[in-house]
Amino acid sequence: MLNYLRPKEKIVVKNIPLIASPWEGFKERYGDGIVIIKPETNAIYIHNVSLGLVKLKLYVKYAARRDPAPHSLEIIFDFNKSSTLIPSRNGYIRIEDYLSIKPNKILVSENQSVTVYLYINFTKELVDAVKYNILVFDRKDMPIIDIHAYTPANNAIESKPYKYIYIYSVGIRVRP
Amino acid sequence: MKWRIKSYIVVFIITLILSLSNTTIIDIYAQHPYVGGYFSGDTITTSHVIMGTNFPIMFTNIIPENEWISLVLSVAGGNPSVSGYVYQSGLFVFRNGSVICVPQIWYGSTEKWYEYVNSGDYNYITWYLEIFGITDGVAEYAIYIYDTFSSYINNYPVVKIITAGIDTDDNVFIIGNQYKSSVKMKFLQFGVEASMQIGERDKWDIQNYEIGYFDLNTGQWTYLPGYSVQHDQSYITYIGNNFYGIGGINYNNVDKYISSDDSVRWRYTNTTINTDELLWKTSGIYTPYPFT
Repeated sequence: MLNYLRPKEKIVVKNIPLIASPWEGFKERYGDGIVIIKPETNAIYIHNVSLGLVKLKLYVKYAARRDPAPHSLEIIFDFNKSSTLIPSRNGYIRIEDYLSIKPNKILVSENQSVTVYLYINFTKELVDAVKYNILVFDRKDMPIIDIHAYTPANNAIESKPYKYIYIYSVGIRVRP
Repeated sequence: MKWRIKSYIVVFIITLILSLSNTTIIDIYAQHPYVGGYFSGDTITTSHVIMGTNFPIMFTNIIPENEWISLVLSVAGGNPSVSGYVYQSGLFVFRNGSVICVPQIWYGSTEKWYEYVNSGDYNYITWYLEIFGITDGVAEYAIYIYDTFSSYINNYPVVKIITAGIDTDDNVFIIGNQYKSSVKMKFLQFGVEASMQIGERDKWDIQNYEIGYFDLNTGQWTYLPGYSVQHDQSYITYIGNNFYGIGGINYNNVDKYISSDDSVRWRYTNTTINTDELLWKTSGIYTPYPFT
């Protein structure tokens, strides 16, 4: 956010940087808080999976904050705001249709970790679609399970004294 | 003699002030190198923009730990005049070879929304980044991931779609150029940004291609003539007298390796491209590969 004045036109020039990671955004003060959602495993091996529900722990941690960011944040998991589409024999299927989280609304406090559970419903349709991708398209390592969450504390942030709260989810890969 | 001592003191004080002010800027804010291209033409509004992109050469071992190189599609928002919002979709590669897509929305230089999307590895075949859905104020971002040759030739990507977490009240994206206080705005840009001046000669090469917008009048995907732009001329939007550019410093030693209609490859080499060098001179219509 380098500011400098162009003397002739009297305009102020500012920079828009890309932010790769929440830690970078926090360090450079584009945000005042970070929530990290980390699954207990980074990969699921499809050959180990039997049909039915697979239950995974997700650890949700309010990992960094600075004043005046709130000391506690409400986090809402919402699979309606993202879609991951993978080919299947009959067109595309949407991965989020097979995911759910309980509870889907939590309160996290600074430096505390809250555990929620991700349920993946490995129906025949989903397993067949994954196998189809492995066999037909030679996909061996699909980063296809993303956890989407948000905090209402980020809404209308113009009226808040603090800057953005980053929410970062570690994805889960699906492997043969 | 007294005069000479006085001048030494003045020079010393000026040098000290300059070095302190530089240090402060570098310590606090990102000084990302950026170079890219822009569409040249009259201002047009649209609902969709898209770009194909990949890494023809990428030696990830030249990327230091915790640093990154990214390719990025940026477009200004409007309602329908320039609003100050900028919509970006960046594809980042790290030393371990992993790739993430980070859609983000800025209002001037304030970050308003950010999402972190796992998008594979640098050696995948190609990706398409699309930004759309702005008519109701809530942008949507799509990432078409062609991870294997088979997925590419059969045109079966994995597709990730993310809805932005904020309503900006924008209803269009803006393409083309406009002069504001004698400054040329470049509302749609594509290029390369990094966390620092990362590169060794011929150790990375990043391609942007099939860049386009959906023409609301003709109902066809369209591209315009392309020109290069370095950070210091990368004005993409404005709010009052505040003008906003992408990145933080020019990307030295990056040049176009090759360009043709609606396609450019940026390569770290021993020459630096200047602003307003011609990338391609034609405009045209086409169908982006994911929609064929």
